Amino acid sequence: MVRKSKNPHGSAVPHWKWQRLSAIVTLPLMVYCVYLLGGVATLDYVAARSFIAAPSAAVPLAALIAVGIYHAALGVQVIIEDYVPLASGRNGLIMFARVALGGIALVSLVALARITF
Amino acid sequence: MIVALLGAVMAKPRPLSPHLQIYRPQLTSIMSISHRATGAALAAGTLLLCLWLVALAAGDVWYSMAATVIGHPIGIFILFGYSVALVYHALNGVRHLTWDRGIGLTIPAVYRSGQIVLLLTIVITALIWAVWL
Repeated sequence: MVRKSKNPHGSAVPHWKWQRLSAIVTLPLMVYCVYLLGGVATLDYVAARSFIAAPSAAVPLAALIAVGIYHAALGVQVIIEDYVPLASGRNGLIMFARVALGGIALVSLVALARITF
Repeated sequence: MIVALLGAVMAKPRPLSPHLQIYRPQLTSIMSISHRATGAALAAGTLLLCLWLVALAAGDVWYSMAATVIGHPIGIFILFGYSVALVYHALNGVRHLTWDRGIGLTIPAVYRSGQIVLLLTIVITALIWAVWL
């Protein structure tokens, strides 16, 4: 018999499910973006900018940033929950990680939008 | 004082998993902790991609600076480490997804898939850099 979770944050099942779903979405995006960005480091400024601005690069890159960083936030949460005791500021650290990763995602997407438009 | 310290240690409500210090290392446990370590490194590394995009958005001067950092041996070393972490985490993630489907859960299968992941990590990382350079 499955005992009901006493987790103060509610059921752990949605976290488990979204971590898998975001992984499945991230995987092909990551493969494509590695293929895409492989050659970009050698380009000069004008070439790199027009390369990233193209929809074939900007759209999957934006999707990767959004879904990948969401996946990262879920994963970092699990690591913190396993190693940081509640009394040592576990919940505050999880909140900090979310804000930091959210900020990185937001700044990346704004930069990408400025490159594209 | 020692009694007080001991009391503080023992007052901790629950032990935290996994018990890294008392657990004998083996392929399965090393690969499990590596999945977490690479995941954390990849999460931290998103900052680098972010900075590169900001540099590209900011203009020629900033982009050239970023290109110089990426071209420096230390930059290449970090990028290489990031690529290893990425390939390993992706491959081992697929291994985790197969386990979630109930596939390959016997001990011999877990060891074999682990060895395949390690081998493919080397091969695919080498391929990426061979094409890249």
